Amino acid sequence: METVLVRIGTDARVTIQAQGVTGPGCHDLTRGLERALGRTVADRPTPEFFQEESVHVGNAARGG
Amino acid sequence: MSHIAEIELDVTDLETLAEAAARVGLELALGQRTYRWFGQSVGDYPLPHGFTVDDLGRCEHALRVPEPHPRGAPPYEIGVVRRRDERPGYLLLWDSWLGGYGLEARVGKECVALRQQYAAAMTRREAARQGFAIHEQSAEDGSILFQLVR
Repeated sequence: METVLVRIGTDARVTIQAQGVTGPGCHDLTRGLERALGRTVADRPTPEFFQEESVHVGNAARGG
Repeated sequence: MSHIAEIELDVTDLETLAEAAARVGLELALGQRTYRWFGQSVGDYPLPHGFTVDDLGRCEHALRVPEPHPRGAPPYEIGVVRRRDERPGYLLLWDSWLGGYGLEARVGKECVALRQQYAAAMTRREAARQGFAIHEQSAEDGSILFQLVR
């Protein structure tokens, strides 16, 4: 599940946080919203950002 | 969390601005070419980039209090004008002397209440367009919080 948290302060400053996406792909999740709202003036990665994206393929998924 | 972005708001969409204006008790008058103000610059505030004193009072659209005001000075209005710097969208020009005769009570100092509502309206629009389920609440400090899930 992908989650985006948005906080709009009483000074109209906006903070956007992505959750549930590892790696740099998290920017794809928030890019549209960031552009719709204005100009990104700061962007800080969190520990989850540096986790590698992985795809698990189980044996049961292999068919003949 | 994977990243945190801070956004400086740009007002770029008139439909969203109209929605935000309605939330603070104003209406957007499309095509209104002048806005009510003192009528004469006293030079107490710097003008936006690319604007001169002759531009004051002129606009492309205006935000105004919709109901009539039979007694006292009518509220000033907000001019909506295209920016003349490198950034997209519109500027909101208004005369805040004496609170713009009731205008500031609705839009906040430097229009922050109106701009907060614009950001919220744009968040709702863009999130819906992208297929997010939208959960909204107000924080004790007056912030507006959204949890967008898909």
